[in-house]
Amino acid sequence: MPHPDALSEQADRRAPIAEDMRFQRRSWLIERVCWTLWLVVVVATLTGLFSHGPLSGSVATAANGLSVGYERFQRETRLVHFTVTVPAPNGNEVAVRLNRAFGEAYNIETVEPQPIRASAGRDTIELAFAPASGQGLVAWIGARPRRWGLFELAVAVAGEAPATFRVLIYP
Amino acid sequence: MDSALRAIIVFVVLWLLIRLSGRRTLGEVTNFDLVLFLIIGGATQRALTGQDYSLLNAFIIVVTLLMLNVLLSFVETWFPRARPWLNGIPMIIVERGRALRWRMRRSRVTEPEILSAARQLHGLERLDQIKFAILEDDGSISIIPEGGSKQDRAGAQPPEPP
Repeated sequence: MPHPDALSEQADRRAPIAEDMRFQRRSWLIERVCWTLWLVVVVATLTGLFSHGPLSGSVATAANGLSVGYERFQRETRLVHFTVTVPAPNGNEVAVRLNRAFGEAYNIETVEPQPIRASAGRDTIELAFAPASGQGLVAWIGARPRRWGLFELAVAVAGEAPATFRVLIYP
Repeated sequence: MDSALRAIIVFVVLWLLIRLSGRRTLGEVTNFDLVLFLIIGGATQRALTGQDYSLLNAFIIVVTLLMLNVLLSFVETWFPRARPWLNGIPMIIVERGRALRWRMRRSRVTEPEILSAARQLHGLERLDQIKFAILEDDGSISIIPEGGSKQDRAGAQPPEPP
């Protein structure tokens, strides 16, 4: 049973101010709901729902063994890295093709190792690498999202099936 | 277009977040409130300007924010029923020397805070010297001492003998 004083405290006073305890209680309820939501936001951020964390990191693969490490959730203007791995490539040169969505969504800022050739066509960006003979290629691409939205990206070795994946870029 | 849009979104979201965090947030300038105030400004500054550091962009942002401020004041004037939702409402937290503890707990106000306001405003020492303490909509605490305000007490003084 509530304390008698608690009951009278919920009653409106008229002087020296006109109160509205019903409105006040409703405000408190709304505030507390919002605080709970904020706690959920902080926890979600720590798990990577808003970029960089366990929920966000992922790997996309293609049939030929090509794999791309990426973040599923990204933020506009926040630098992200793609790790492209091509095991045991054929020949001396590996041409990695990024689809049109890459050009639309990102400014590519760094590529390690330095490609021996970079070109951009209407629908693709091509980066050519010369890995050490017999060894696989691991390339890191640092890109800065310049638009927000949902994008379907594709990375392929020239002439072969791509690894496709989706990223959500928050504003 | 996006400069004004960013300014509107940041203003509305920030206002909403602070409004929903409760009256005590930024209600008084304690050390914690000062840190919060500074950090919020820093955190939102880049979101406002984006990567555009031109004079014109700064001008657009300032004008947009001032316009929103004026708009809010018009809404309060033309729609008085919106005022409680926009600003909150005052509430009595000490009544005739008795602390209304349920209300204080819900509003996160402590007795030391009330006594501090009583000391600073009226030089009072104890709760029983307070007729009413009111938590105002801006988070500050106003005090009506027993025996009326300073002006009332000054007015009640007998006239000086000639």
